[in-house]
Amino acid sequence: MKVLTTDTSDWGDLATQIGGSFWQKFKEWLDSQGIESVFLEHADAQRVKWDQALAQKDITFISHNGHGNYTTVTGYNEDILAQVGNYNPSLYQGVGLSFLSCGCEKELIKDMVSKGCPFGNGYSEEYTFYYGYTEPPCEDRFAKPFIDTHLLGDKLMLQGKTGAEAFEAVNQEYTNQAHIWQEENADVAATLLYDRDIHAYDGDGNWKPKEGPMNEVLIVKVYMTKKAPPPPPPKYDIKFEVKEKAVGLVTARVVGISSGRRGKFALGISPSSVEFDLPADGSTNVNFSAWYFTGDLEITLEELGGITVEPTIVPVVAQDNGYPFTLTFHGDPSRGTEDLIGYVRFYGVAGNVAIKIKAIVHHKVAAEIPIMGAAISLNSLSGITDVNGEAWFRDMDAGAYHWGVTHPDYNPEEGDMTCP
Amino acid sequence: MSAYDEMVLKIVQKGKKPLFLATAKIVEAVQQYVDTLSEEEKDRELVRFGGNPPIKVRDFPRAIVEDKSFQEFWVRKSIAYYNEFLREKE
Repeated sequence: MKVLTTDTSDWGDLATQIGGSFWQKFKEWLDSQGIESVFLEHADAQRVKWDQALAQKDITFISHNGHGNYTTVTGYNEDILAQVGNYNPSLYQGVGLSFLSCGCEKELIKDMVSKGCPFGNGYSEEYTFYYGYTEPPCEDRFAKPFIDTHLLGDKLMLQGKTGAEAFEAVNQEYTNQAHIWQEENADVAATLLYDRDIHAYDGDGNWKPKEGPMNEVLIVKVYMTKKAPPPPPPKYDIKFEVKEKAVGLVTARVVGISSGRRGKFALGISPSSVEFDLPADGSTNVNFSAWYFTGDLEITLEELGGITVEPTIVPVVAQDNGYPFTLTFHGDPSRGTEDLIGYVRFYGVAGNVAIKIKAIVHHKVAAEIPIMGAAISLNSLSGITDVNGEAWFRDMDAGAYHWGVTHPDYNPEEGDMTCP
Repeated sequence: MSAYDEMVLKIVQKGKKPLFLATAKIVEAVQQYVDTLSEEEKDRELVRFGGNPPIKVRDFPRAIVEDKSFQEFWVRKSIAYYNEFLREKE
């Protein structure tokens, strides 16, 4: 059994600075247990070395901490280690993994498991924890109940527990820690419970890291990284960066070199994704902000069926707090009720720079549109919605409350909600 | 009942009624809770592994307004806390 593990700290980022301290301690634990490991520290925690380690075919488990989002997990300085559509699935055949990274269970780990990774443990939303500025961070009494609890699962799996057993033990420990903290700091307790609730795994719950060499795997040596040699630049030397920022901003920057003249063009769009209801015979306004860019933005929709948008050209001006503008999306009267997942594309003509953001559109015929901010009781949906079309639901049997557009256990035949 | 419990109940509201709270109501409830804390407690930070910067406790209300995902985090956290600690008291 051999473990690939990381310390992605040392680039001025607080979260990974804290996490790195815990993974240094985890590495000591691996050594104390006689578990062989490849430890990528600091600037070595990047894509090329990560893939090289996995290509040796003897890694059976990955324990990693770094920033992430639904589609991506990153290493040192947010270098992309794996991303939906941008990783080599053959490297993960037979390799179980556990990522303490925001959100990546939701899409990336699911994608990996669908392509041969046997087990993946992670978090479906943003992982959040308290920090009290103790040095070293691995001794911080606020951070410990969070990160040590996550690492408990990795340790249990390396000691022979199955993925599902380790997962349940971790969730139980989050609950235990919440009870310990409830009197002293209730918000620490609540945050522990939130992290427990977004904790998830995919794949075979009976899987556990195996002793000895792995099965033979097919190694494909071609993959994309930021370090790949760029194509010859006929007109532009293009550097393209896409990052999610605090305000849900996606940015792109193009450095244009044309006719010996150099100019910089950057574009940011927030939010980084949108989700909204759209009546088939009506329209919905969605607010955006553009950043850094001055000039005309051309707006187009991709993979959103007959939905249209206006205006299709928005003149924007770079300003400190972003340039606000509103797009109006029109439904397709010929289309029924369905959820559409596509993209809104923003093209900055002056800089030849473009950004696509994900759009989830709940396209509905008029009778099924929830009444905003009011109690509703329709055949297809019962609950109460806010102005974004999201809804609260009450599980009548359990007496528990849930948040979301739909609740999977809610059966409108069994109960109803009425206005007070 | 602690200030935190009261805040959670304001967000999750009691039992039988439909649960709709505008952002302003959530912010108000969280602000009332934050106001009960000491300066040291207000300076503690929430850290996240999503590339977003840490948020000081004193800035929770502002973050709820500015960041929809943080608002959703707060609501879900309150529901989890309610289900774990407060439901049986109701």
